[in-house]
Amino acid sequence: MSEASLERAHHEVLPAATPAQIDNAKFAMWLYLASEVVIFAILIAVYIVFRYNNPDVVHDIHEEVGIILVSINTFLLLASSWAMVMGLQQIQRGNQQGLIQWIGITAVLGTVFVALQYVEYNELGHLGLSLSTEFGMRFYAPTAFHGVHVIIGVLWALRVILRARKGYYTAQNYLGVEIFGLYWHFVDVVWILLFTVIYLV
Amino acid sequence: MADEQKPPLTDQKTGEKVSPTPSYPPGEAERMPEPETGLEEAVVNALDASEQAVASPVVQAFDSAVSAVQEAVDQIPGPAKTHAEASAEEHSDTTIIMGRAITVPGGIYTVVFGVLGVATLVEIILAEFPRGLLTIPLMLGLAVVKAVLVVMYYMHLRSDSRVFTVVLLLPVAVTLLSTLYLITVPVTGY
Amino acid sequence: MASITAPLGQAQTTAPGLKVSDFFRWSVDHKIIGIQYMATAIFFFIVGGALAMLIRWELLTPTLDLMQNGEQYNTLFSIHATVMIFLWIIPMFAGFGNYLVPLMLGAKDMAFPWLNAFAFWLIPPAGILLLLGWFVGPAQAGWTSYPPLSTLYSGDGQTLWAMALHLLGISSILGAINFIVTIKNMRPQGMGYWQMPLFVWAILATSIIVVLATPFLAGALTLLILDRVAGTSFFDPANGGDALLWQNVFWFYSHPAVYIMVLPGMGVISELLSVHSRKPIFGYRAIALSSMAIALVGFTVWAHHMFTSLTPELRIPFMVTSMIIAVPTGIKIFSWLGTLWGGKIRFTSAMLFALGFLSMFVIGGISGVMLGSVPVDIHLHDTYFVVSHLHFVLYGGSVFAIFGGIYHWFPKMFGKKLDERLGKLHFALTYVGFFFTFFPQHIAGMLGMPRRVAVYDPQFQQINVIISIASFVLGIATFVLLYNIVVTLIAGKRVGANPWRALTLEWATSSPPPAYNFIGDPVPFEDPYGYGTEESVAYLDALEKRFPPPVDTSATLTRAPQSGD
Ligand SMILES: [Cu+2]
Repeated sequence: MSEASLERAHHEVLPAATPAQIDNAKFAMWLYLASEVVIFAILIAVYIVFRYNNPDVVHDIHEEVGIILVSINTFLLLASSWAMVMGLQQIQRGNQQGLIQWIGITAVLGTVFVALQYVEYNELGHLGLSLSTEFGMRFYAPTAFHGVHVIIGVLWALRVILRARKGYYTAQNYLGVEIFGLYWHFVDVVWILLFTVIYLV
Repeated sequence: MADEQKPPLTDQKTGEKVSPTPSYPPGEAERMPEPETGLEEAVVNALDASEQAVASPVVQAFDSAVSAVQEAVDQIPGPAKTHAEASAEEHSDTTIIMGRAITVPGGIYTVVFGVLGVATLVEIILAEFPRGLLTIPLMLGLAVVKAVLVVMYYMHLRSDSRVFTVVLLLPVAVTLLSTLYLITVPVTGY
Repeated sequence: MASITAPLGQAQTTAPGLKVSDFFRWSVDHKIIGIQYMATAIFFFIVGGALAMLIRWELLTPTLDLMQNGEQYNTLFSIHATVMIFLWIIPMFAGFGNYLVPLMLGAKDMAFPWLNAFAFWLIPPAGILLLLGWFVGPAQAGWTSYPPLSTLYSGDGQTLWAMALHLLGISSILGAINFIVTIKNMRPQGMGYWQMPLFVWAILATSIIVVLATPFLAGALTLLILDRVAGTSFFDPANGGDALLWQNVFWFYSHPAVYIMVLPGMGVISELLSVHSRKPIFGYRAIALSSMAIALVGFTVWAHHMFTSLTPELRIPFMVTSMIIAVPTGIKIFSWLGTLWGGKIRFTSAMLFALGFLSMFVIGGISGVMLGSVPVDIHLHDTYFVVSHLHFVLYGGSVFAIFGGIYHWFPKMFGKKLDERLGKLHFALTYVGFFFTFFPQHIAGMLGMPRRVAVYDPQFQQINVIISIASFVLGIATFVLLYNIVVTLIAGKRVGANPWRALTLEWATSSPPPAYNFIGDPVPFEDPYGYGTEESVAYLDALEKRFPPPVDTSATLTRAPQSGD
């Protein structure tokens, strides 16, 4: 065997290492989201078990609290997700200004969501729903954990905006926006499920 | 000895046959010495049998199933739309739904947003009006539909690599298993 | 296509010029990170080992002597177990993975070098956090930390314990994501999934388990921390909680975690057995696929840890799934035996540990099947039989594999071979010490000696004295290894790039490898285990010409003329 076969000569053309090459960072984001699925699932499962065994307690609390505030919040988060993809579409068309505006809307909606959640927690606190009640702990744990994710998402959005202002993203290079999008939409998906399971059912 | 019975190795990417390793030249390690005692013969027979078991239908089926999964994971693009079609759709303001072209700013994204909003409204109405037997399954079903819509369209899963689908479905399967267990099994053993 | 994101400006060299201080700095070179993982893990191995020695010292007599009270003893075994599992075995294999996976794939680095470094640097703070618990009322609830022991009875150290485990969990999730992306995307041309070395397969299977299972631990720990500091009572039945919730969620994680700890070891063994018996691995596909099978079936068996707290009707289903796991494991064992059969076995220290693994792991596996069957488990649970079983799997399995891996890849990492005579001494002491430490525990357990107690029935004293003395031998054996490492690093002679004449790609570069591992793109040999063919001999000879052994002829470890290679 000749020495040349130990290493590939530099002038040889390298085909892609695998047939359908997928992007490293996007793959990693999906894997990260996979592990987030599990954490959220436990927190939600803890609630579901309680709901399943104590339907009356949950019903009474739902009657007392009402769903106006949280419905508004749900629409806000859905809209923020929409704004997110609109921003992505803008940068794919090469419109940096559009990207900044739409992601800005996403960040604002996210912030309002967190603020309203704070208002909601205050109200619930007045109703005596503290962390040490049976319903309270199972309610606050998943929703607050989700809220933390929204806060992180808002900070991330601000970073995307800052980078966009420096002209970091182009019609060819929008991976950073897309990956942030994956995170934000995931948070949205979690809320879609939380809203139905915790507030409506 | 059993080398000839092995299925030919193929390179995963090029599909070319890779030549199997030839048997040992003299002076190298003998692969299987001639058995001398009964025990040795039994071992050799067992090893032979297990190498031949590779050709058995069960193992072949398992093997081809795994290969199929791998190929699906690696090669097949999105089922509904090819990546190019999907991204063309996502780039334009016009989208075709049930045979009709709809033009709104944002195209398919805005249409999906509209569906999400309507579904949420329906859910809220279902929750506020007197409940029937189907109310809760309906609400949960709507929530799942909404989640799937976001994942497919906003997170581009319908056109992106199949690997991502697997990455999402594995934890969903594992957590469904464990969550269902937690829900259905009585809280206390004894 | 995205590939390495390492800034080219700060090129790292692992070349001979590397200083000791380089290993204490932030570095994004996977080789330095790998060694940082291993060194940290070995440090905690010594800490955990010292705790084990204290435990055995205490158990020399049936009464309290070293400890003032039972709580101190509780702390000892709790921290011993946590350290050994989360700060020794798991990071040690992460270290092997970090060092070897890119090299085995012919890659320049991991997919995310920065993330890799970040994942490592979470470990030392976590270790410190865990040990700090000693000063604020340490954790006492065992490594399983069942409530109410972990909620109502432990000190603030239990909170620190949970936080430390949280950090370690994040670290291993990030590391696993990195491994999966690297293995999926950075294989060289000509290496499909079925041409990957089995160690890489094992790391892939392990990483999938980590991504899917470790978040369960994170979720459980989050609830535990909330219970301890925020006034919730998820695990307190008196206030509407559920004590079994912890057990379920913890074992959702911790049974798969057993495979996180042992699958990489199985990968190491697959490499060692083939290289050192100069024979192709028997049943390559079977070994690779059984890793995946173990990974998946491992998620369906958790409740075999809860037979005594489980609804009785569910015992049998979980017994059945647990037994099923023995099938892929058995496939591996027989494939390894098939590999050995007819090979030209060289009894190097690495090979001795691999053989030690085989023998001890089989014992651990069989006692596992015993514990998996309900009637036996009802009798034996919470006795020393369980202690014995888990040490046969984790020490006789994982740690033997780690030792074998150290002897095998030390020349790769430092260009010097560990002293073989000391290595064999290390093996002999470890093997004998290990066997007599843990085998008699089966008997003590069957006679009814409960685990986790400092005060026991005097009838067990004789057997405990034997166990303790053997364990001190086992402790001393470790220092032989440490001495060997230190002496070799200081005064060892340099050996060639590929002293074992192995075919996998990590040896197709100089030892230690240069910055970015390979000059040019290496081409893998068509079969990573194709030993004994003319082609493989030609390939190895060509490698040797390309990376010649040191000129010093007194270095005996260049190619010894043996007919077997
Ligand atoms: Cu288990």
